[in-house]
Amino acid sequence: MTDTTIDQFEGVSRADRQHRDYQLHLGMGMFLGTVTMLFGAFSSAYIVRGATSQDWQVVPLPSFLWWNTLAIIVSSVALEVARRAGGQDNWRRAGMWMGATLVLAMLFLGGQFAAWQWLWAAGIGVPTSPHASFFFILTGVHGLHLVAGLVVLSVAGLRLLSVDANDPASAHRAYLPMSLGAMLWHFLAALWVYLIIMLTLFA
Amino acid sequence: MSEPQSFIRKCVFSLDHKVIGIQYIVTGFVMAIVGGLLSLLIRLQLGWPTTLWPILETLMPNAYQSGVMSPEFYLAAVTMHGTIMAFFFVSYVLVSGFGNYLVPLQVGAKDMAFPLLNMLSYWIGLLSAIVMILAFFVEGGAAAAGWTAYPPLSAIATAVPGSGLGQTVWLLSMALFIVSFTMTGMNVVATVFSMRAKGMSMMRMPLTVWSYFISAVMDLLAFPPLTAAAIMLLFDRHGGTAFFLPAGLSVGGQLIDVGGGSPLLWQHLFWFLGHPEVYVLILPALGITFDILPAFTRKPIFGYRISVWSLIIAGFLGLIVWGHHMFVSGMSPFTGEYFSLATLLITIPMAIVGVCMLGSLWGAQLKMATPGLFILGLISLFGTGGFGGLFLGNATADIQLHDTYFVVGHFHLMIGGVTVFGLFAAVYFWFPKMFGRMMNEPLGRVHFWASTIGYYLVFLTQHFVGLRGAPRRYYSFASYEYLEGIATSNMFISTVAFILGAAQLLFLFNFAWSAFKGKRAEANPWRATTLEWTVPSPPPHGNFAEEPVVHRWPYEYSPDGADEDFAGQEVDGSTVPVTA
Repeated sequence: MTDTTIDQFEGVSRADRQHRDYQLHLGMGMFLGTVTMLFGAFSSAYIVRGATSQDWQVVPLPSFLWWNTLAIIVSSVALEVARRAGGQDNWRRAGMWMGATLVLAMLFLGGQFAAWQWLWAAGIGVPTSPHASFFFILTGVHGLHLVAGLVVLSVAGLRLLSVDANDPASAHRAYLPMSLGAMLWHFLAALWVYLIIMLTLFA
Repeated sequence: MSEPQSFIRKCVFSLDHKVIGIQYIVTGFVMAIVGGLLSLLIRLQLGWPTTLWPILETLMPNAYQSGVMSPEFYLAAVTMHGTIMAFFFVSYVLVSGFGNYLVPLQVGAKDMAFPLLNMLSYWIGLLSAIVMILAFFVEGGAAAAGWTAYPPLSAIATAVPGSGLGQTVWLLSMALFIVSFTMTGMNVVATVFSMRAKGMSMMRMPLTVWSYFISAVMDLLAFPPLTAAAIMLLFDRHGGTAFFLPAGLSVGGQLIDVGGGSPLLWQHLFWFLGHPEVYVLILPALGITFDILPAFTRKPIFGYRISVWSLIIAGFLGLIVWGHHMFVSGMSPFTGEYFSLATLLITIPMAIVGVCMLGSLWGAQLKMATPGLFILGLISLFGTGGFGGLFLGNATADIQLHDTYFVVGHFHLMIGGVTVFGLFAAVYFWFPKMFGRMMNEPLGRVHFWASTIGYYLVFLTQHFVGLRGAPRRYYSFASYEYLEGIATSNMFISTVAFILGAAQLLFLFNFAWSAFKGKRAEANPWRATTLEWTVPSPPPHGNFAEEPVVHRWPYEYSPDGADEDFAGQEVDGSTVPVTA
């Protein structure tokens, strides 16, 4: 928040509010730490399972996954533009880019589901080969986290719709989920780039 | 922070860290009764394997057909005893329970950083405990693959009766437990980082808070990988995958048609959680020791800073030594060498902690009460159990001792002894703060002596049974000629185990009776220095009437120039000089 003229609203002092925001970001950071460990464990399982077995068969993955990857990267960039615009009290711009973020995010989730359907149509399911098992489980677990991220970003989007630039309380309410959601979403976008590289180039 | 008025918001769905802490403690003790009864059933079988128990048959007709415990139920009992005691007793009472109660009070905060998350954590935790108990009542009975849930026993539904629905329920319960426990860990870390009172620098935190903080960081790093492993195991069980199922496996004469996976992969993922879990549980017991001890020695503890660093280093090393549980898994001797070396390195920080405890006792004029006695017992068990660890950490010796009763004896002294003595000490010490009443002292002393002697007789004897080669998890030793000699030892262990179990009834009675009828406690009955003793017993909602200011370290006992023989952390330097 850049508005320094008003120190207190809703009975909470500026210092207390900043402290609360710091705590929430700290909490999100720790959550991302646990997600890192979760996918770290999946990754080591992926490496070990691939290296120690004779039944590892690489299944083909649809090439549109790369377009999907582009979608989530662009959504991440759009979100960052929106967040910065919000930080400069440019709420119109923030709302516009947040809209773009949400569209791209849903496009990505839809694309992931389309990839599953593409595999199912080709007769490839979870048990087909360890590589397929990992693909489905990793995209599934990543997808669940994306849904959580989408909920946070949707809250931010809804609050941006009704933000009142002259009311610091309403501005803060809109900015906070955007900032927390950005942490989560950037992380999940980077995680996806890592996952697709692991699942294709290091299959 | 306004105080809720209705009973439901105040005592059931409470956001107050003190209420949540007590909820965890009570839940943990209820689970301990279940886990403890299971251990007595196990001891009954091992002590008198040929005796018939018609009474138990009437109580549990499926488990005791014609009065004899079935081998399947024995496996389930062993599995559930371990799971319940490690995850639902010690984790809940010592870590989630006292962690919740003590951390905000000792850092001078009104509450945890995320009260709502805290409440969710408890209710998810309670659900997970209930789901775990329900496993006994599903078809095939509770999980039977050990608390470590090694595949293929845990992966193939037809392997033993407990591998069926019971194992699935076990995995679901563990997933809920991890969610709940991780939430508590996040709260502890965030509270320590962001809720400390003015003047409470990191190096002025009581070692209790330090130990909960380190334990919470380890919890955040070590528990998520088990979630990954549990997801993969669930897919192996229900999704047709073969992450952990080896090729060419046959169960009951039938070839399992999926395969190619690695059961060792599970062991690595499990122990990456399992070993740090030991430290998550034991570090708080060690931290608590440093805060209870000076109240009875009336002098500052020895080596505060080096103890902090030792706990941090022990915590870090605890994350990278999981392979010492797997020396016999066929791992490369070079890998084994690494895990041995890293494990034995832990003796350095742990020995420093032990020396600091002894140094804190040096020259003290002890005025003992039950909490102090339990702390002395803890230090003793920590030493004895630690010596056993030297044997097991060494791959050469461990290959001989692996999966024998030596291991069972060792971990019951450490993870089942140090932690349990730590939580008993904590209950006796902080009970007056929690309920505003003292626990009964003579009953506490009987409980202490019976527990200490009982622990040593049971678990030290198990070391020797293990040295004779008795393997753990065996249903009956009666059919092995080379083990005929341990029959008497087993009967002895079982007899003492029942006395030990009976002694715990004293504690439960003392707890329940004192909560309502105990002698009224003042705000600071132990004349201790940390911040929780500056507020009334029990502390009001929001803990501190005004935000406390901290002027000194928490171990200012027998200082110069004070009227009393201690100066609390809130006493400023104008009356008593600040030493640290």
